[in-house]
Order: sequence, then C-alpha cells, then structure tokens
Amino acid sequence: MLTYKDFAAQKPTWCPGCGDFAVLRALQESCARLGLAPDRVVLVSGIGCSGKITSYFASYGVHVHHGRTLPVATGIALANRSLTVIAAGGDGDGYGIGLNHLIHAIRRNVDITYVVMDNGVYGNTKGQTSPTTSRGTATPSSPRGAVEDPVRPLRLAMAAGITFLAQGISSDVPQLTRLITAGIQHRGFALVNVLSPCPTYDRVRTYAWWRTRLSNLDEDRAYNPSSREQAWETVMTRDDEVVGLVYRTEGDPLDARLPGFREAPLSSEVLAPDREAVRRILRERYVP
Amino acid sequence: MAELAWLLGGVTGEGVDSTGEVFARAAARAGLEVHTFRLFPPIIKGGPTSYEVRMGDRPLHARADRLDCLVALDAETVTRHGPALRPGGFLVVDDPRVKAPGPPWAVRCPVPLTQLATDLGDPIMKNMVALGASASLLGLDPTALEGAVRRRFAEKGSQVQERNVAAVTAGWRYAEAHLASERARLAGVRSDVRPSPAPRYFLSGNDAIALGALAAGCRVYASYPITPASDVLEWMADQLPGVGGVALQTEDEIAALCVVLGAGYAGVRAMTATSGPGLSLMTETLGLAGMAELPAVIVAAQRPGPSAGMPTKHEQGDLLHMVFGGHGEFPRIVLAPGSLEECFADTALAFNLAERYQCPVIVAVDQDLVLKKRTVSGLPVDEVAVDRGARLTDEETAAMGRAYRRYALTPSGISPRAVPGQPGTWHLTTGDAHDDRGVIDVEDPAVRRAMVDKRLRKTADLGGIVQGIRAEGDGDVLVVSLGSACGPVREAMERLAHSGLRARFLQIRCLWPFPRDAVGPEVARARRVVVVEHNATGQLAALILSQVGGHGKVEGIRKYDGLPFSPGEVEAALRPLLAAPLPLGQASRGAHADL
Repeated sequence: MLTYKDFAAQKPTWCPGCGDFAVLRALQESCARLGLAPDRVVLVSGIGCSGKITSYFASYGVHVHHGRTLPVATGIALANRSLTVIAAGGDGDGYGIGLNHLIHAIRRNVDITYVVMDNGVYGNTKGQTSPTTSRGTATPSSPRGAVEDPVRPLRLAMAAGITFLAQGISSDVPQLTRLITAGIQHRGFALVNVLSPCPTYDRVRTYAWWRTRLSNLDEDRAYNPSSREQAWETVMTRDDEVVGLVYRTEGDPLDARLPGFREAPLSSEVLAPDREAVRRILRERYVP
Repeated sequence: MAELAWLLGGVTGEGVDSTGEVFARAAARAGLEVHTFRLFPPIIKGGPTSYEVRMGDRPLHARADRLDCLVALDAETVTRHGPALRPGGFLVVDDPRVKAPGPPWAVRCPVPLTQLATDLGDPIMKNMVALGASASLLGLDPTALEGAVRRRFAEKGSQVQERNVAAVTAGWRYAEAHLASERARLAGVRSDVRPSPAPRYFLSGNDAIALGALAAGCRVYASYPITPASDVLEWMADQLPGVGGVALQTEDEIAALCVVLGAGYAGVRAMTATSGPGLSLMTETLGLAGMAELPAVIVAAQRPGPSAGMPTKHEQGDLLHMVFGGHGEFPRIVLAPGSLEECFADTALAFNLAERYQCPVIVAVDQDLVLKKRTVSGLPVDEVAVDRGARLTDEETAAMGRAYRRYALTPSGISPRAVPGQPGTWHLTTGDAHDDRGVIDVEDPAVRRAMVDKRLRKTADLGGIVQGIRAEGDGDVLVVSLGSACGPVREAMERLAHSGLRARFLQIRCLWPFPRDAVGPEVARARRVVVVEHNATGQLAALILSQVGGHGKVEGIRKYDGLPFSPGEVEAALRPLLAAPLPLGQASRGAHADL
C-alpha cells in the first residue's frame, strides 16, 4: 500500500505557509491512492515557485523553461501512452507566458492532468502583477494598481471546450486530493486550478478572503457537473469564485483520435532502419 | 554538356506548377536527368510564377543560365524571362492574347493555346496545349509526355485523362503543322542529349529529408506550417500513421520543438522542420535541449530574413544563428547537406547523433535545396543505421535504482540514459543548473564548472562519424561553399577548368562542431580562399576565419537577392579570381563581390 511518502523527494523550500505545500501533498496523496508507482509517473513543471514541485515530488520529473510544460508533456504522452503524465505550474506559467499552449492542449484533449498553483502573484521574482491579479491591486510592477482585468481560468477553459474542469483551494487538501485524483483518472485533458495563496507577497487574497467568497459546488446537490449549461452559467456569473468539480464530460483523447496510432507505447518499439519502407515509397511516389 | 532548358510562366492559380511538373516528369520518363527551379510569390492566386525544367544527359544541380524554350501564358512572363532566351530559342506565346514581341534574338512561336483548349471543351487546358506544342518544338518523346499527363490525371478518372491527352495532342499537332521550320532549328542540340535507360526517381529535398527521417525511425513529428518547410509536415501527416507514428501540427514553433523534446526524453525519435522565423521561436527551447541533454532533430530550411523577409525565396542567412543562437553555452551539431542524397543521409544520421550525444542536431538546409525537384538514381538507403546511444536496459535501471546518476561525469561527457517508465531510476531532468544526479544546484561554482565542461566535452570529438568536408580538384585557389550553392559552384568550376582555370573545391558538410582539422590545412595551403554563399555579411567566411584563420586571403562571392546562383553567375565572378591569383598575403583583405 503506497502512501504520500512514497512520492516525497527533496524537502520543499517554499516559504512557510505557502499554498503550494498543500498542492504537493494532494498530488502525492492522489498518486498513492491510485496505486501509481513513481516510475510510471512523469511530472512536468515550469518556472516560478510552483515549478519547484518537480524537485519535491518523487517521480520522473521534467523541469522545463517558462510556460512550456504542456507541449513538453504532450510529447511525453504521445511517446508513451502507458505513463501517467501530469503538468504543474503557476498562473504566470499557464495563464501568462504559456497561455497559448493551454488553449491548444484543451482543444486536443491530450491525456494530461494540469494542476495550476494560482496565487495571483509572481512570487519567485518578488511580487509583481500576474495574469490573475485582480484589477486595482498594487504590486511592485503596478504601484498604482493593476490596470488589466484578470484572466478567468475557468471561463477560459470552458470556452476552449475542456472535458474536465475543477477548482480547489490549498486550505482543503481532502477535496483537492479528490479533484486531482479524478483529473488523473479522466481520459483526456483535465485542468485543476488551485487557489494557492502566497503568504509573502499577497496580503489581499488570503485564505480568510477566499472563505467569504467561495461556494463549494461539490456540496451543492442542485449542481450537476455533467451539465454544460450549469457549468457555463456558474463560471460566467460567479467570477470563478467556486471550488469543486465544475465540469466533466466524455471526450475522446488525442491518442484515440490519431489515425493509425500504435496501440503499444511508441517508446517500446525496437527500431531498425526502415529501408523497405523507403524503397516502397520511392517506388510508389517518386517514379516519374 | 548537352542540355535543354524550358520555362513556363504565368500567374499563380492557373496551374503553372502542376503543368511544369508534368513536363519535368515527361523529360525524366524520356530518360533525361532533370533539375527544376520554381519562382513563386506569396500570393495564392494571380501573382507571377514560373517553373523551369533543365534537362540533360548527366545529373544537374543548378538552374539554367539560358532558356531554349519559354512558354508565356502572359505578357509579364515575356518581359521577365524573355531576356534569358538563348539566340534562336523558342518563345511560345498564347496567340492572340499575348502580344509581347519578345527579344529579337528569339524565335517567336504563336500558338492559340486558349482557343485550342476552348475548342476541346475547357480553356483551363491551355497549359496542356502549351505542353504539347513546346514538347514538339524540343523533340521530347511523345510517349513519355503522354505517360506523364496520364499520371497527373490518374486520380481524376479516365474522362479527364483523355481530355487532357487530347489537349496535349492538339498542341503537338499544331506545332508540327505550323512551326515545323522552327522545330528543325534545334535538331542539332537535341541530338546531343542522349537519354539513359537507368531507372530514376524524381523528388525534392523536402521529400528526401522526410524519407531520411522515416528510414531512421522517426515516430513523432511536430511542426508549424512555414514556407519552405511545410512539405515535410504534409508528408509526415500522410506517412507516419502508416508506421504507427504521429505528425502533430502545433500552435507554434515553440510548441513544436517542445513536443519533440518531450518525445525524445521519453525515448522516441522525433523531429521538427522549420524556417528562420520558426527557428527564432525555437531558440529558447534549443537551450533546454542543451541544458537538460535531450535529443532533438531540427531541420531548418533558410529563406531571406530578417522577420518575415521573403517567404518564398532563397538565402543562407541563418548560418550563424544555427551555430551560435541561444543564450548560454551548450553543445549542438549543425549538419549542412548540399544535395538531395545528402539531405536523406544527413537527416537519418542526425537521429543517431542526437541520441548518441544527447543534444539538439540541426540539419541546415535552404529554400533552393528543399524545394527544387531533381532526378536521382537512388538514395543511400543501405547506409542508414540506427544507433540509439548510451541507453540503459530495464534490468540495469532496476539494479541501479536510486544510485542512478542521470548526468554522471564520464570521460566522454556522455551519461547513459534512462527514460520514464524504466524501473528504479526516476530522476529530475531540468533546465536549471544541476549536479550529476539531476538535482538542481544553482550555487556551487565547482559543480557548475564540472557540468559545463561535461556537456561541452560531449561533442568535442565526433569521432569520424560526421563527414565534415568534401574536397575535390587541385589548385592554389580554394573555393568554399555549402548547401545548394555547391551545385552552381561546382558547375562553374568545371566550366572554368575547361578553359584551364583550375581551383580546389571545398564543401562544408558540418557547420558545428566546425571541422577544424579538415578545413585548417586546406585554408593554410591555399593562396586565396573564395567563399561562395547566399548572404550579405559572409557568415560562412566569418566562421572559417574564427575557427581556422586565413586573415588576408579569405574573400567572398555573395548573393542575397533572394535567387539562387546560376552557374554562369558564379563562373563570371570566379573567373577573374582564378585568372590572376595573388601571391600569399596580397589578397585584398576582406574583399567580396556581391551579385
């Protein structure tokens, strides 16, 4: 029986009180609960405080450049369909520099679970405005208040056609574990946005602040996460201030859509020079 | 050399390309060696376009200097290409629509192309009428022509096939009936061109690159459409599913190279192809491949920059970007094939190098090399080998377990790889500075130095696996070139040799690691070094100077107008340099002639 400790690597160096501790713990609990071995999991992280998670999580890890977790994870998922591929990053990584990749990963429905540690601040570079910083918030890079409206990750994901969408908060590890576990089990692209407050640079969006705003969809009996209409209405009217499973639907993942795609992992193929294929194609296509 | 050159010109959207290709195939089917050259604008419909077919009795590697037959579907074609007609060459015009008289030294051959096609039921078949008429004038084998036309329309059904054959026949008969005396003029030239019965294939550099990748076991291909590399994406999308693989069109070139790195990391051979703008976007990811020691094959087909530049034209202006582009220092390999056969071989080899040295490998090509189609007698298929480098077996990883060091410091700098899924050896692969276990270390100066040295050590010696140069001929002048420019340069040098002006030719096959040991003595021996390249600043010359020296005797012939060299251009620029070689140390310093 695996426990979260089987997925513990280095001791984290995040600031005391950082929400990312909870994300790490929920991820470890999820993998243990699913009985995954560290050898069968690949965690891909980007740059920022959140990106350090690959050093603290025991599995095959790839720590890539800023914003590029999803395309690297896509390459891994295509290369070996038998692996569990998880991407993790921050709001800057996923909703700023790497936002383009998010929309296309959703569109492809590539079988990846993407956990975003959304703290609304660039913590690793000491507190500048991030894509999810609320308008008007003063930061070192917006001393008179942020002038942009924030990215709304849940609306954005719904608009892109996501097949699994959830939001959790670092103060509730059990719920977060349930959401990440369900995300990993989902065949297709799963986004779990985690409200993960930064105790060092964000004095506004604290746990107490979130507590007064958030409603829990998982406890709402009238809420049906398989209803696209309800999900749309929720993300459009509640300013993304919900936690729980927002939306889940069946959709064929990328690897099932690809014509002729090898059933066994591509990485298991023993390669030999494909001379016959070249000769055949030369004969078929290139005889004038 | 016995040869003929034919050119069809009109506007994009009226089938100039496909018609030109039918003519090229007809010539190839008739047993001739064929080389094609397309000029086209980034305008899908209505822009000036042309398709040149150069035919001869030995392999051709450059566009023609003069035309024997120009088929003009519009007046602008006469203005643009008429001056290239040789004295007595045929100017076939669509009569009476094209009234331009053409140069006085040409033989004007008016043919009612549109009228004959309309009579047969569809004016769009004027191209086919033109094919028939011009093939008759040049004496091309009518059976070969009919075969090429049938092949072109094979998928459209027998009715379409027959109509087009009828149009070709109408053009042929018109020329026989009305242009018989003109036709006879070229008889002398024609009889020199002796067809060969040898089997041959007709393909482009992009085709050869894709075939090389397939031969080497590429299973994941990711790229973003860009001229002139899109053909490779389309080829892969068509063929990779047949071997269980995947071609993914990504949202941008950043994602394309990231997918390649991800697949390579997980143990699958992967490639992307792009051009300058895409390479610029990929440069960030190139650094990750260098730092994290991930294999990647990147085909970079150059076109004139900077920025969007001239999307459909030719240049070799990204050489130094490929060699030095990116922040920080990391090992990379940059191969530079100069022919279709080399495109195939080098692409296949790139996969071995990428996995052996765990670094990015760029296949540096250019627009002319990848787009032009040529006849070849075959590709070096038997020479393809698969070497996956230092990889651990599952038994080995299970035994090693946590003792595994992903970036173990070895004498070669190469550390055996374990890929995800292998038991026991989970580890971190990171773009941050790290120690030999892959643990991030951004503080320790000794670790930093050891890891930088380790990475750079990997490609310090490619151990004879890569052919750095190809040299031929003798003379105290060394003419250096690379990529598609080698074709016109070698042809120019052959012509000059006929008039007693001999020189030594050196093709640079590998730009990085620069083949210092091979190039150094060549430069040292030469009295004069002439570097022929397609850019304005002499990037190959700069690389040679920085790597092996030669100050005071390196000169350049440079062309950066978007068009590839013709042999005649190189011949004219080289002649004075070969005719009066200066004594050592007397060359005009840093001089170059721009074409």
